Amino acid sequence: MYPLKIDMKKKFIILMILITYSTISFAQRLKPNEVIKAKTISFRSNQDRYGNLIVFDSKNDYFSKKSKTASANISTVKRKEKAMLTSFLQVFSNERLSQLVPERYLSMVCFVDTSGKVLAITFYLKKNTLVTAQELEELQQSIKTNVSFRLNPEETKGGDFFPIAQIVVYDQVLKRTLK
Amino acid sequence: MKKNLRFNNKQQLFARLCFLVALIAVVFQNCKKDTHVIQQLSVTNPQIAAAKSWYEKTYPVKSLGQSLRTSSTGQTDLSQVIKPDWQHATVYERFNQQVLELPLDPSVKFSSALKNMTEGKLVSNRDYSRSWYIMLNDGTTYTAYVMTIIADSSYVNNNPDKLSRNTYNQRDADFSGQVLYFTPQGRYVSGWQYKNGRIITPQAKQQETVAQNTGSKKTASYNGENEYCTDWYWVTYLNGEAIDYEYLYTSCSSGGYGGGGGPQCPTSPNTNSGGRQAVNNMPPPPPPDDGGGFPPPTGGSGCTVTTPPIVDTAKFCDGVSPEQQQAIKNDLNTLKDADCLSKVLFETSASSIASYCVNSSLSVQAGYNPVTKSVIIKDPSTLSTANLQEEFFHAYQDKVMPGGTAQYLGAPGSANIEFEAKVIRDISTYMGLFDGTGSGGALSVKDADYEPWLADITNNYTQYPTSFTASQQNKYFDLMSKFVSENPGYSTNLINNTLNPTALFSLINISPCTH
Repeated sequence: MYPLKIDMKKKFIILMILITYSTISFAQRLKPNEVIKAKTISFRSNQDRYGNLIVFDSKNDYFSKKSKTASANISTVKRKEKAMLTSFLQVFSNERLSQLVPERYLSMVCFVDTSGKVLAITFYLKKNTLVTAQELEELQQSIKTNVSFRLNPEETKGGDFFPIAQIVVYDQVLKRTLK
Repeated sequence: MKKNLRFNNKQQLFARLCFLVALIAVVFQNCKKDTHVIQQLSVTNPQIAAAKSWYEKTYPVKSLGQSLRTSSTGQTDLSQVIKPDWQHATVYERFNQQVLELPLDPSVKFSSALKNMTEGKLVSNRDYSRSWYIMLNDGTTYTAYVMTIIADSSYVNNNPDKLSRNTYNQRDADFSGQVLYFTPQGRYVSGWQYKNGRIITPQAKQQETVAQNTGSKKTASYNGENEYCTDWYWVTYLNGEAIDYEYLYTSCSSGGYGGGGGPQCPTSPNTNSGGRQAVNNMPPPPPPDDGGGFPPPTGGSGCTVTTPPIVDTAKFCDGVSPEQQQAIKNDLNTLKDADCLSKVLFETSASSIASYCVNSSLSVQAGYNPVTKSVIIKDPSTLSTANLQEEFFHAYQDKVMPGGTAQYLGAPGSANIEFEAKVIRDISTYMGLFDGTGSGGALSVKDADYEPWLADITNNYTQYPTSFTASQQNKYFDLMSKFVSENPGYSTNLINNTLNPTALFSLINISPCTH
C-alpha cells in the first residue's frame, strides 16, 4: 500500500501543476469584453461585429478623446525603416511567428503626437488569436521604443494626436522582408 | 486528215495527266507567294540560336527583386512576365522577311481581353484570346512582337480550339475579332478588326466625322452633338489575375467594337479621355495581304500620331512660377507612375483638369474646384502624391457623378464627396501596408469600428470593394457621421443619406487593380 500512496501523491502533484499551468496560460489568452492583466498593465478588450478582438491598454482613451485638428488632412506618413520589424523580432521568436502566420496579419492604430512619437496603440486581432496579453504588452512597449513616424508639420499644425494605420503581416516578419 | 488529228487513248491520258500536273503547279505557286517553306526548328538551329541570343540581350530578364514595371511608363513590363518557347519555333518567309513564330512559354498562363474603359466593361472572353511571338528579320535586324488575337464569341462558337487555326501567315476564313500587335514589353503597336474573315474598314461617313472634329478632344462621354467616344484597353492576365492594361484606341460615334464600323483612324492628334499620348492607333486598311494570314505589324499605316504627354501640356493659372510649374509636373509624373489605383486615376482624370493653380493661403494642402475644374495647391514644393491623388479622385467624382459635384458645394452631399475620397485613400493606405509598399497613413475616422469595417469591405485587404452589402452601406453612413464630427469644417447637415459612393465603385470597376 505504501508505494501506491506515493504514486497517488505524485499523480496529484503533477495534476495540480498541469491545472495551474493551464490556468496561467488561459489567463493570458485574449477574450472579448474583459479586462486582461498582463505583466504590468491591463488591457481592455472589445469585440467588433465580426467577432474579432479590439484590444487596448485600459488607460488608452484616445478613441473617445476629441482631437484638435482633422486627422483626415494628414496625407503623408513615413515610418522609421525596419523599426517595426525590430519591434516584432524583440517579442516573437521564429517558432512563435510560424504559429502566428495562419492569422496572416496584426492590424493596429497607433496614436501619435505631432512629433510622430507613439503615445498609445489599439490592436485588432483575429478572434481565437494565439497572441497573448503578455506578448501584446511587450509589443506595445517595443513599438513605443523603436517606432516613430514623420508627419508633415504643415498638416499637423495646432494638432495634438493622430491615428495612424498600421498592418504587420507575420510572414513578412518571419522572412525579414517587412520594411 | 481528220483522223490524223485525233488522239488515241494513251495520248489523251497523257494530256490529262500533264494538265493535272500543270494545275497543281499553278495552285501551289499561287498559294506559295510570299509564304515560303515552313520549318519547325530546334533551339540548336543557328537561325533560332541567333534570334534567341538577340532577344535575350534586348529584353534581359531582370533579377529577382527588381521591379516588373518599366521605369518610364509605370506599366507592367510584359517581357518579365512571359517569354518565348524556343523549343517550338516555326520559321518561314513572308513579305520578304524571315519570320520566326514562337508560342508563349507554357510555364505561366497568360490571357487577355478587350475592355471598354468608358463603361468599365469587358467585351471579350479572356479564354478566347491567344498570344504568341513573331520575330521578323529583314536580313540585318530583328524586330519582335507579341501577336494577340481576341476572337468574337460568335466565331469561337464554344470551340476555343479554333483559335489555333490562326497564325501570322494563316487566318481562318471566317475569323471575327481583333488582331493586335504589341512590343515584347507590352506596348501597343497596331491592330485590325475582322468580321467573318474580312477587315472592317472605316466608312466614308465616319471618316468625315473624324475630319470635322480635327483637333477636338475625345472624351469618354458625349463629345459634341451626337458623338459618343469610347476608350478601348487591352487587359492582360497572368494565371487569371489582371496584371496590367494598355490603351489601344478611342472609337467615336458609330465606330467601335461591334458597332459595325470598326476602329477609325484620326487625321490629327487626339487624346483619349485619360489624356494619354496614344491616339487612335488603329491603322487604315493595310495593303492587300497574301490571302492567308494577317497584316504585318507595321508598314504604311501612318496612322499613329504622337501627341505630347499630358504632363507636358498641363495648363497653369496666372502667377504660377516656372519653378512651381516644374514642381507640379514632377508631382504629376510621380502620381502617373505610382500604385495601380493612382495610375488609373491619372489616366481617367488628367484630361478633365483644366488648370493647376497655387494659393498659399489655402487652409489645406490642395483642393479641387468643380466649378473651374482646377486643382489648387498650397505649396507645390511640399505637395504629396497622396494629396494629388485625392484631388484627382475629386476630379473623377466630378466627371462621373450625374450633374457633377459643383451642385454639392456647401450643400448636403459635400460631406459624402469628401468622405468617399477619404475612404479610398485609407483603403489604399492599408493595401500599401499589406503588400509592403507603404508605411501607413492617418486614418480619416478614429472610431474603433473604422478598421474592422475597412477590413470587411476589402475582404481583409485583399481586394478593392466594388459594391457594399446592406450592412456595409449602413456602416458607411454611420462612419461618415463620425468623420463629420471628428473633422472640423463639416456638419451632419452636409450629409446626404442617399448619395452612395458610386465614384469609388466606378473607379474600381474600370481599373484592373486587384490589391
